[in-house]
Amino acid sequence: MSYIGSIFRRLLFFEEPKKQEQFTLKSPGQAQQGSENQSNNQPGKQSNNQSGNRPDGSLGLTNAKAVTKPNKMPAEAKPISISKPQKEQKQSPKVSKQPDEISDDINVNLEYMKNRFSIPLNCDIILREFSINYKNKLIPAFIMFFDGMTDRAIINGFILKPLMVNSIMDVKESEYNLQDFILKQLLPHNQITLESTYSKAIDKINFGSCALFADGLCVSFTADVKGWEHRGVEKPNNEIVIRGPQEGFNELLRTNTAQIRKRVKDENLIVDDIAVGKVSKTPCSMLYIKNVANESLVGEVRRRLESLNVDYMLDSGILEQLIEDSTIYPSPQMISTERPDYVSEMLVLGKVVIIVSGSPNVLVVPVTAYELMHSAEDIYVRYPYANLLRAVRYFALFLALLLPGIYIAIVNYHHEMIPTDLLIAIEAAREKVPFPSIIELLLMEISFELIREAGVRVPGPIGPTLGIIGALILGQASVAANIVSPILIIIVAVAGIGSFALPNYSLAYSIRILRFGFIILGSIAGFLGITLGLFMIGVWSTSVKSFGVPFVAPYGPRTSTKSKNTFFRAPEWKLEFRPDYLDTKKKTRQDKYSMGWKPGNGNNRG
Amino acid sequence: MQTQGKMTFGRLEAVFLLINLICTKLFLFFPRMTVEDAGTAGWIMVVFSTLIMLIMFSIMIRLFKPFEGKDILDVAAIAGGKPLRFITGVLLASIAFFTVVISLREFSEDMKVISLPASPISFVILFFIIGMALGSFFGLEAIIRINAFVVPVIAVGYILILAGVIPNMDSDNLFPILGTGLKDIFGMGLLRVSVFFELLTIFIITPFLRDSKKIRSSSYIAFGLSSLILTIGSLAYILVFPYPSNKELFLPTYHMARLISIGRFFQRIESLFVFIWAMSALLYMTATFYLMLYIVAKTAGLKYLRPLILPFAVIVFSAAFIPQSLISVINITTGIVYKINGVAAFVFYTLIFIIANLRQKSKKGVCKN
Repeated sequence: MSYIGSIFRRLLFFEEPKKQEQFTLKSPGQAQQGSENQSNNQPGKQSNNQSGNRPDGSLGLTNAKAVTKPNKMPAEAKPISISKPQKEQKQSPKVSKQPDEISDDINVNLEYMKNRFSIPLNCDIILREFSINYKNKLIPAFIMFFDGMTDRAIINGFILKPLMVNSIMDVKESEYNLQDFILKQLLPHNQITLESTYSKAIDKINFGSCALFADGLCVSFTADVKGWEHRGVEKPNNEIVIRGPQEGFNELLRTNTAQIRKRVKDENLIVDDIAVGKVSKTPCSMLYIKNVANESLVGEVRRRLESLNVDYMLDSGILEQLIEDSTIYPSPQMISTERPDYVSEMLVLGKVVIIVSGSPNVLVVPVTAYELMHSAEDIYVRYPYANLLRAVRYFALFLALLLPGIYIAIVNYHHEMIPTDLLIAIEAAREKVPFPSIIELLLMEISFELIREAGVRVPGPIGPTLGIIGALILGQASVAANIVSPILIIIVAVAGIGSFALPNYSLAYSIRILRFGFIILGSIAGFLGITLGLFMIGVWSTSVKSFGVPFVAPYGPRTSTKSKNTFFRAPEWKLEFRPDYLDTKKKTRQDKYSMGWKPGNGNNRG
Repeated sequence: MQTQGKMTFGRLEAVFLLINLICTKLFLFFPRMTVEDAGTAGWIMVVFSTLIMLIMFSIMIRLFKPFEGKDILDVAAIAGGKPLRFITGVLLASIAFFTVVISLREFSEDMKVISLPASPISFVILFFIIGMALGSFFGLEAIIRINAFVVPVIAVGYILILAGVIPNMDSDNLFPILGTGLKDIFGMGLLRVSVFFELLTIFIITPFLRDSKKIRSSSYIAFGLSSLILTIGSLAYILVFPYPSNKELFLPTYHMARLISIGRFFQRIESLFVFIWAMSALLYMTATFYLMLYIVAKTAGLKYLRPLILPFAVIVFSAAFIPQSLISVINITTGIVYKINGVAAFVFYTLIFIIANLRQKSKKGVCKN
């Protein structure tokens, strides 16, 4: 009710809009200043690309810039007992002065960690107690890790064995204290970090690390021992190409970043890790080429990612919805792709890429309307073929969006434009159909959507049955029963095929929604209604921005089209410039005469 | 490209906006009006009007030169203080309102005749009103951009119509070459400078163009192209239909499109004309409606424009029913609007610019002394 009330209030009373400046791209010179200030404020900040590049594709977030501020909220670090009421939970634990700081008393640490991980209720958390021999004294210690997320062989061979067996070996008098002894002499693992707070240690355990606590030390050693089962690098399922690489992203963040890095091969490619989600702390990587991408764009992407206040962020689909510019605009405002080669191409152009751990779909920002019609294959095939494919796709877009609407407009209002022979054929087919055209069309469109949705949800073995139902019963039988006319089935089928030909899955969704709008407009006002619909979509599109870039750039607003890759693309050697609307640091992507082998230094090109 | 700060737009975008504002009348009565005025010499009359307007506009642009980045209301404020600024604002807003109302009714009536004969006129008007209100809601930036995007498409559509009727053109229709006589060509041609009245919109959008060079070049380019399009449109109409009958056709371009037939299959493709025609109308009326709101808001010193959209849309919708019929609308447009507007606006604008120049010079003189 309050929502309805707020709508009425907005309609009746004008409220002064909040002073909130919309983000626009700044030119590289202006942005440089801002970035310098930013970097000055964060002297210790460095990119995370050197961390955790494990061959098994696991991630070592040694320098992760987590959004969460663990020290800020002591209540979060308190031991939580599910059996106790909420009020009791707020009592401070019997630990050191700062509740989140690790105690030097092993018993306090043990108790705390048991409470936090709900041991013994939680069955997949492993807690192993043992002793370390240090200067002929037995120091109590324990390790914690999640079974299934970690590699047992590494834990046994490179953590437990050195600590339990090697420590009792006759080592010459060591000058190291206990902490350095463990770190520098006992643990041979390549990724060990020291954590002084429980929350950081717990975050590491939650993400597949093994934490070691020892008596007398107020730090925890965390070793990156990720070892969960995962999918290998396979063919992309939804973006198939005939020509070009056949590798797709998978669910592992580092495998995905490695797939991009092996293609781009540039030390200026920055992989900046950001954790999103107050609870889930989902690792995300923001990729850009440092000396190409616009600084303000990079800053804006980082700002949006870091400002998210959500508990859990599980997939790039959710992230897309959280950082897009316009929520209700039908078309997607960023590219979601599972192809590393396509992402690499976008990075080279100066775009920013966001990878979410656990999601095989990678986001690319910003995007323009034309780019949604480009396919990864376009750059691999010769330019006449690419342009033919694009022309086919634009035609498919026209059919998918407007064909049913135009059909209903012509049948209802503009039948004079149908040639006589065709008009007679249509009328003969419609003679026995009892419904008006609009009902007939909506019936078929809804049936088609039902089949499509059922086709996605149906279990594999029943798939052919659905095809039979769709093709025979809804198609043939409805015509035989005079429920719909045959021409209408052709119209709906062609529009459906048109939507399948679109290279962007999200775009196809938006076209499906808009198609219904055009059907209604065409049925109530003919071509005038459809024109109004196009005008509304057009004027809306020109006001939408994707990360500061106008959605219909470079045609609305008119900017330079030197990049020669909008509606159609020029030959490869002519693609000299990066898109103007990205305001990149480097404007060109190749020399003017890129084919140095040609006589006359390219003057005789053709 | 706009990167930051206050909204500005480029030369090309301004050119497309002005071309659409000036040339939309081509889809309405304009070609027939030229024939009514000067017979088969209608196109010569357009050329003459172009030359007259060129002189008038050059004077205005020269006088406007010292006021870079200011619009006509700001210049009026320099010339006569707040009272003159208010009077100018009210006058311009009234003209824009009148233009929107008349064109809304005319477009709607024409649409009803050619496409929706069974629908009530209020229903057709409603469609245009929705488009205007929505376009204004998204603002000038969106309006300018959609113009830049769609106007070339409309131009291609119009060129296709012209190309389609080439087989129907007969050079004999041009004769007598001087039509109804020199008196009509030059006499009416002088008054018909009003067909370029919308060119003066440039003096409203100047703050968005900022640079005086850009203002000058965009207005001259738009003026040149528009006069070329109007001349070709008038000439094509005269070439296609013989003199006695071309005075009778109420929608000249539509009737030209009706003649197109390509083989046995494509014989009645004039309905496709509705797309470019309605789109052009929507762009024209949205831009005019928005500029009206902009003038009202600026004159009244309002900070925000959006609250005006709904009430003014209702007022425009209601006012569109005042004319009795399509004939009365056409009579008002051809008989009054396009006879008075141009000359009156020229006199008014020029006076304001002269006074503002004198005031500015006298102020500078005082400062020096």
